[in-house]
Amino acid sequence: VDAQTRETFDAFTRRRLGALLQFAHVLTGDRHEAAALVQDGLERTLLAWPRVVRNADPEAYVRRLIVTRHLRAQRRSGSVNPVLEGAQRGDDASEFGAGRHDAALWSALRLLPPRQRTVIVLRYYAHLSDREVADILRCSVGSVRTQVATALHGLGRRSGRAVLGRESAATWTR
Amino acid sequence: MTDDEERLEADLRRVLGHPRHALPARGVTVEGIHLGARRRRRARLTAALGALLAVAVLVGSALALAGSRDVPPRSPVPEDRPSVGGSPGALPQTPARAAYGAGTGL
Repeated sequence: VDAQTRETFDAFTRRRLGALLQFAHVLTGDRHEAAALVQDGLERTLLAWPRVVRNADPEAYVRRLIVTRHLRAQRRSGSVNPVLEGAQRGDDASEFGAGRHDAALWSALRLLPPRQRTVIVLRYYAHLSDREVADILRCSVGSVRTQVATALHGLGRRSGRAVLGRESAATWTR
Repeated sequence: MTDDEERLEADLRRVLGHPRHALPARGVTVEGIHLGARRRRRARLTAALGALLAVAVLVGSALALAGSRDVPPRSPVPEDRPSVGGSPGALPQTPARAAYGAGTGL
């Protein structure tokens, strides 16, 4: 790696590492997996750094790597239940503090199928357009919209139930 | 979009942007990334060299095999082959051949 590549890459990493870790955590719901995905994504980005800087937004490039690696890992692990896995590690939703409704929504989000969850994160966390989400997932805009609609329906049903089960209907509908 | 959906979307934005998702960057360091990238580059180089070697071995074997096929096996030529018509390749004269020769002036 030449000096200029090292300098620009290091500056980018120091500046955006926190945001990338946060993105990966929102996507995976797991701190360790998030760190591993970011490390992997940045290593691959460094190897292609001159091309990445010339052709694309580096952060978008790393995000795309994180998403594709995460979805591939999810396909391979297949039957792993993220909520049970998280519960075993003690990674529950208690950090939301008093916001029980938020905790229920976060739990519901973790129950979504990986692709639906990814679409939700890219749209509501990364604020990407349907076209940009479709580019990352290599699918049609229509498919993205269908996934969003299905995910929102699932989230409303699951988180609504969870809240209604613990508290009252008023908490959910406010 | 209904009010419920709008509320759900606003809740989602809030939950996803919650500070709990901000992770300390202890696990990932710039030096660690450079180390990992170096390891990756070495692994890629080794894999490429391995593939090149495999191709070279394959091509070499194929060439050696083709070379051994090009040399015709030494077969004994029958010394006492009967020749008709004077030349070694001449065919025996048959009535039909004789008639054809007479018709064309050969």
